[in-house]
Amino acid sequence: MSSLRVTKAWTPSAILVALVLLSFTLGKYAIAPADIARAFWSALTGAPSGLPRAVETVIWEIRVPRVLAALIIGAALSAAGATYQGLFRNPLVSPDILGVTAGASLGAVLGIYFALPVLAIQVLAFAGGLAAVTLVYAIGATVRAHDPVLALVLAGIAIGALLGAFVSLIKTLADPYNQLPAITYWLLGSLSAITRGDVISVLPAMALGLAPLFLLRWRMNLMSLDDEEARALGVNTKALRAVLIAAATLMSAAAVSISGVIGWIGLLTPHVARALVGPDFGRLLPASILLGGGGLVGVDLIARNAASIEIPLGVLTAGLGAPFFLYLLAHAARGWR
Amino acid sequence: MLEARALDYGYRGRPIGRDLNLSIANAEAVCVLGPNGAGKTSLFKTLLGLLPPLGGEVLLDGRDVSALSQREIARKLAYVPQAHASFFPFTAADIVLMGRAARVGLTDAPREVDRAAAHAALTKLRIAHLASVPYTRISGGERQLVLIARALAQDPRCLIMDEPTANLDLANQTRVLEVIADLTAEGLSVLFSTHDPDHAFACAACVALMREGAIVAVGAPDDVINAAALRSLYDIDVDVLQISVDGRKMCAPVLRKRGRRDGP
Repeated sequence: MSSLRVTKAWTPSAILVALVLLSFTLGKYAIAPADIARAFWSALTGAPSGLPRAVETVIWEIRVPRVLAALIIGAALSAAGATYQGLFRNPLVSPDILGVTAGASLGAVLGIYFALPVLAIQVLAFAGGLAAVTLVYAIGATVRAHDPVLALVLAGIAIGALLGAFVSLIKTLADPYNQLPAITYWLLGSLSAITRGDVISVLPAMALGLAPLFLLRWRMNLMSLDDEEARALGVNTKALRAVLIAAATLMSAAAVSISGVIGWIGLLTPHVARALVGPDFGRLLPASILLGGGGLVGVDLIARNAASIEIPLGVLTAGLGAPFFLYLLAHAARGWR
Repeated sequence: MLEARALDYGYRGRPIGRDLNLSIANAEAVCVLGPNGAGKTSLFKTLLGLLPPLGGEVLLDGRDVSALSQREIARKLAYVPQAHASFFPFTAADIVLMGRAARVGLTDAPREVDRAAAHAALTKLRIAHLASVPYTRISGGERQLVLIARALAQDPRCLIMDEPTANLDLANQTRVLEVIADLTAEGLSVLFSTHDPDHAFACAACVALMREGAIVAVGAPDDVINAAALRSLYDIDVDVLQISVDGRKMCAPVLRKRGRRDGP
């Protein structure tokens, strides 16, 4: 039993390391593992790597930022998903339940429609995601409902639909030759245009979001109880829920702002993590982060290499995620119920 | 220990009871008896500080509950809800450990002392063997015992139990009643609701009869529970008998004869 536990605990880390290493080498421009090692060694020691400039550029300007972005975004969506699933006491909840994706989409689509620069589109997406969740939270808190969690979910569904309608409206108004493809592409998610600057720019939001999740990791378990029950145990559920939602939203909005909409990762990987390490958030959070990071690195690896053109990530995550989800459903894995 | 004074309770726009007085002394078990919809659960939630009183006050050790934080209340008052399904497969030990929330720092994980308290609570209820079993895989009776263990891990002075014997088989009902008797013998106060007047005879020092949000009678079970009181509460005829084994009373509802029942 205990050796099985250890194996299970190490599985996510091992998968992650293997995928990251594989991702550095594979791509339109294949790089030998030895060359990767040489480039990293030279970066660490300052010694010349002896690699051609083109190889150096591919490694540092394209491959590394992209793999890091996949890692961070997958981890963020998965951590947010694990948090939301606990908060909403439902293993079928994804990070966009409170409208973060819908808000970010509207922000980005507006940015593209008004032909704003990339940075402005990212800022709009980020702000849109935060604004949507803030609005949903405000509505959920105003409505005097018997179950505050249910009020939030219903508000999220309504606002999400409303924002989706605006996105559709702008799509019909957009220039079908220049803007519409860009919008569609954004809504399907991609890491192909990720730069080093993008990765760095989302790091503060990620850290700011992750810190409370990590600090409150034990208390998070109590949030999966009935609201009144948790309060009777001495938990200030209202304040805690607000902090946890803010943290998870910050992370997912930051992720979506540079990658576009990537579904399924945040829904599925916390599931797998729960089946591996159980529902205790202290273990679930790190496991979700590792699996989510590794998962998106893996999916991006396929997106880059499976076909002669890049496959949009949203297409792949749904294409791989939905069958996997059905498999879990059929087998009712541990952690499911 | 716990006292409701001139308490108006319920929801804004839908008050349930007015001017209710009830007091639970140290080391005393008080049983609340009343038909469905009498307001027992809402009263308990108000006493626990989960539902703001519409008027009057709830005093916990002489202090107004609405002035206390949930954390302060939870250190003295523990709530045992009806056994429910869990959304995630936490182990029984994990669930019991959650009882320590009011004694663990906001950003801390439980320490050894908390784990020891959780284990002691499980042992006390003789369910230590369930510690590593997921809560989702144990029976309703075992879940109820786990929730009582969680309340004990809270290290409270008073337990409020909402129909702790509901949906349990006879053996588990008896276990829960024994636990209530043990807890009061050890100095804890217990307030519990039930649908079976026999449970009041079995382990309560005081019984409160509730109807339509109000307490219509309160006192020792032997004095309060009689055929007339039960008739007014439930509108059925009940024979209150003395049993031979330990001398306590029991209630036997009288079945109406065919033709005397209402309707065609």
